[in-house]
Amino acid sequence: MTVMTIEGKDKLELLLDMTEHPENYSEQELEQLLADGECRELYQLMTEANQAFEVRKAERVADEVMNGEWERFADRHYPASGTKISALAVAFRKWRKLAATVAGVAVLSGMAYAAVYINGMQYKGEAPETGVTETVGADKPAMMQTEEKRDTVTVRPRQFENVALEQIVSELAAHYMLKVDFRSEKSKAVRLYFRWNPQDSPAKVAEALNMFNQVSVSIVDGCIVVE
Amino acid sequence: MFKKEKMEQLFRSHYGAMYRLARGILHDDEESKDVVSEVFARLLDSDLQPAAGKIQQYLLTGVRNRCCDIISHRCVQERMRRLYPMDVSACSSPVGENEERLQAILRYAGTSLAPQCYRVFRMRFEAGMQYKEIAGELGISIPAVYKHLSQALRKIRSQLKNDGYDY
Repeated sequence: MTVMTIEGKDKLELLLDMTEHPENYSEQELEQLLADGECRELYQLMTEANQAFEVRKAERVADEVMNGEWERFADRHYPASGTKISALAVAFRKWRKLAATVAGVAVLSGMAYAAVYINGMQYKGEAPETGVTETVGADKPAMMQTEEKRDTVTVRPRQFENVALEQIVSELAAHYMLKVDFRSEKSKAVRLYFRWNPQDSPAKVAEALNMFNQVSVSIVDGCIVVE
Repeated sequence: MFKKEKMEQLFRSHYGAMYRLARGILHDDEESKDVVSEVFARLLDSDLQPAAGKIQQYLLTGVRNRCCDIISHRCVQERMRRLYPMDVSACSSPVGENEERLQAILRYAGTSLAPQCYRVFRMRFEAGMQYKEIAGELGISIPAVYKHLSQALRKIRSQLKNDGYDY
């Protein structure tokens, strides 16, 4: 495929066709077309035009949607009998947090052990699988978190779901053998959804983290600096 | 733990902005509602009590990050079909800054496009109609639909650039 024409279409017509029938093109063809400067700009404009109309629609219906959604939210999180969640639910939440904390400590200890082990000896664990995403969710039962993190030294991408930046950075530091310097206490508590590929360089991971507005990460002299 | 009254106050104060942001990124009503509800549930689940002046930023950031995460899990074809940004970081731009640009796009479309061209533009990007449906509705050919859309996009882009908006 050439960028300029396919079946006599100019590149913008081709781009318009791709947005309606992307299944007719390979990922490579889509990316090739978007590598063209004008196509990239016009595609961005299409996404923004769509976004602008969606925002306008949302403004019109927001109040109505909100009323219905509040009812749904209140039913789910505030049982009808009281003004707050039942004692059982509170107890369950506390238990879940405690379990997650215990699992976190166990995992970090395991990571430290794994890091030392790798540093001193050849890793003889299971062959890493690539292309599989692991999910570490704060809401998952502690048992599952422990299971998932047992093979911490791995090249599998990992999905952090609603995980504190402090925990994410400590895992990165253990993996890349770097120190950590949090220059802002506040940033430790920031919670992120973040996909980490352990095969990426620390600089690339820092760049990805910096996509989040409230995070500023840099690698300085063997140290992950978080501001 | 937020009491129901406090949570309702937060919900009603911030829902509109959160829903608008999610809908603008995801272009889907149901998914947007789920994302907003999830962010409130997370706030409820956590012991965080963001300072009064920071709560909106906290909630909007939560929505934006969750939306980015959803998009990042979609393949290129799916992103293109739903007109999502190819670069996930593009949906991380500050809300206010982006809204001004979106308003400019709608303004240019409404004031500088010829009536038929504007009609086609809205049918495609507002109503989400397929090219064949637009052609059928307006009694024109599919190549004519392409032509109108090409003209509209190029004209709006040119005006954005003239007014100093970056690409």
